[in-house]
Amino acid sequence: MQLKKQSVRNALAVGAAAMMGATNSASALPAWDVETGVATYVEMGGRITVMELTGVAKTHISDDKTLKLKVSLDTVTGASPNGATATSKPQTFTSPSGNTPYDVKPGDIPLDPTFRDTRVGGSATWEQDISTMVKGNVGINAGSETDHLSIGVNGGLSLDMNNRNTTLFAGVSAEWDQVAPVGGVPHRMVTTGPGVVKTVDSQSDSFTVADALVGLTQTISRRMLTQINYSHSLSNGYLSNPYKVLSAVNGATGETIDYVFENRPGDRTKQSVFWRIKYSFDQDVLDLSYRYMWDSWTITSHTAELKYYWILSSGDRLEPFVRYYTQTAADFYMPSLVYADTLPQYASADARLAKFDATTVGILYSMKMDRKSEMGIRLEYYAQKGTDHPAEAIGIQKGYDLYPETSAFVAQLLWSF
Amino acid sequence: MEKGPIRRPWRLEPREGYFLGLFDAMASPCQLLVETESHAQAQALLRTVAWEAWRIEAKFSRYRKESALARINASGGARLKVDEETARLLDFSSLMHDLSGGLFDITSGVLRRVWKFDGGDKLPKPGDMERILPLVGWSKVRWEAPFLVLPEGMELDLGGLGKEYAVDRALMLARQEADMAMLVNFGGDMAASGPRANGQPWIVGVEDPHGGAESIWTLKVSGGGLATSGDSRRFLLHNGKRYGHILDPRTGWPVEGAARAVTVADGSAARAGMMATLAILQGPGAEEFLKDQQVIHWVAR
Repeated sequence: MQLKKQSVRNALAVGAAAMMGATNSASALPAWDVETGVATYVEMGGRITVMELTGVAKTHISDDKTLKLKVSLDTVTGASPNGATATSKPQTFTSPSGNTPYDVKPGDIPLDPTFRDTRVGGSATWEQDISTMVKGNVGINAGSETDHLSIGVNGGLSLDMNNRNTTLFAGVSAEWDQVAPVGGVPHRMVTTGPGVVKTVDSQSDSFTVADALVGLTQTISRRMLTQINYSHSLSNGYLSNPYKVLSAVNGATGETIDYVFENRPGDRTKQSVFWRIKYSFDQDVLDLSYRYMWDSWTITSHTAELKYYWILSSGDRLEPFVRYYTQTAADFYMPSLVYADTLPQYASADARLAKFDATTVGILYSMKMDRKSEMGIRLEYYAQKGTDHPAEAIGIQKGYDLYPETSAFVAQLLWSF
Repeated sequence: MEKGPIRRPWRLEPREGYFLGLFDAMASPCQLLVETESHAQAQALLRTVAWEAWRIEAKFSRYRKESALARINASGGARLKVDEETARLLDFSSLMHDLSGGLFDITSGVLRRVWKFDGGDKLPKPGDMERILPLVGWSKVRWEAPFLVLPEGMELDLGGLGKEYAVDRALMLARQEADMAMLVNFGGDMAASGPRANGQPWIVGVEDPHGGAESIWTLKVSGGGLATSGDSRRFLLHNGKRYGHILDPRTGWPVEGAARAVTVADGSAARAGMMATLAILQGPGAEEFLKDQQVIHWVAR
């Protein structure tokens, strides 16, 4: 009888393999994992609104080589604080292009309403196994805005050790930036006179940024993982904001007399240390991280973040998080400066260089659609608070709010497939 | 319109040296064992495995009105074009029919209407078998891929190979995503990608498929598949004679002298499961058949 022959087993082996379908992935085109997102960031009080589209595509060229491509497109519109302080008289400013004057009522924090931009950015990263324990990556990135062009390169290595319980990693990157402000680069720290019309120094300027990072990921137990890293960053060149001014006020009354365009030091050294702990419960994961940053402009900052990956019984995921950030002021930050014959070499009234703290709370809900695709929605609220009435306020300034606070909502839809 | 799989709960638990993923599919408890340090990677692989199980269950379930199989069974004798995956399963079923000399037959599910193997004592009533047998027989089906003509009243049932197919498919997809030691176990039918990273076999506890009510088998699996055919709890007793649930589709009556259960280890879950099924269909010849085929096996009588 046919069944007595051992060939039944062979026939089954062939038939069962055919039943599994084509597994010949070598001839197939590489499959892409794609993540897309559309986000909107809206600052309260009619300030900045950002609409952003992002896309990330990743593919395995072969088992040990991965290519990752990223693109983003966003548009920025709205009004942004120009650095001048509120005062008791109406103020008139000239827009950066020089074409559109705008008026600010007494007592109001001056906002430049002409702020708009479209930004496109892209990057490509190639990751490859160099040996079973060593992985390497190289990448390029570029970004373009109306007034800004940047190009960067980066590379890194990681080394698995200690039965893959320890991973050491190191990376470097370099970036070249060309800044061509609308209406030209203003002459800095020289009074502009009424109307705040700038004297143009040149049409463009540039700066460079170099970064290095070393770190270590360590498995503490099956449930716990920790990561630490140290990074060092050097920026050099034109680091001032071409659109920000300072009010030059009467040293006795605090009344605004004139304005100057800000000036920042031509180099900045930033260092930071970062520490993260991830703890896995049976399904959920708790992620705690902390960063301490200090720089040569005397800014020091602390960032603490707590995130929880909550896996629901349906397999969907809920990720609530809270982040707290606090920083000290740059040594050349001042809400305004005193009108005098000799002005300081460096000064800025940019709120981002002031002492402030910021809290972000948010939640991501991510839903599986099928084996590969996922939809998510992220909601965030951001609140930034500085010193409204700093000790250095003079005369009438004591009656005004000198720090432009920011609160913003972020909503994002994500789709990965 | 075909509906997608139903999403159901799953669980992922860290264990000593690996992650254990748990979910239910095809009326069985299902497991994924995966050796990774990364919770996220284990989660992703568990998702792949569970979704594949649920997808196959939804597509080939007899019980779901929207399934691809239900559409075939409701075709009323019309000529249908089936999708590529269904075609592969039908080709394989056809091969099994040939290899078993007609004893493996995916049209024999309708015999369940006259047999109730629930431990009771009811034999089919006279005349039942004469009415039902004309609806059984793969040779009455016209299958020329991708076209199928299933005569009116006949039904296909892929339950005899669906679980083993799902195990192999789930493991194949998971292996395409990550190269690491894994074991997929759907209710005792299982397949492993290979030994664990330290070279040791996976150790799996399964309920003894051969009848010991309380006993648990401890299996060491270091690659390939392992599956069981037969169910020692499904039988009926009539006038002191035990009737097992393995039916001969040619007569409609239980195969005489069939083993209660046969477990086989072979290259994949489907290969192991089908070897076990072919063996049990041999009746008293199961042991001799398995010996001739030179596969690792366990037979319960």
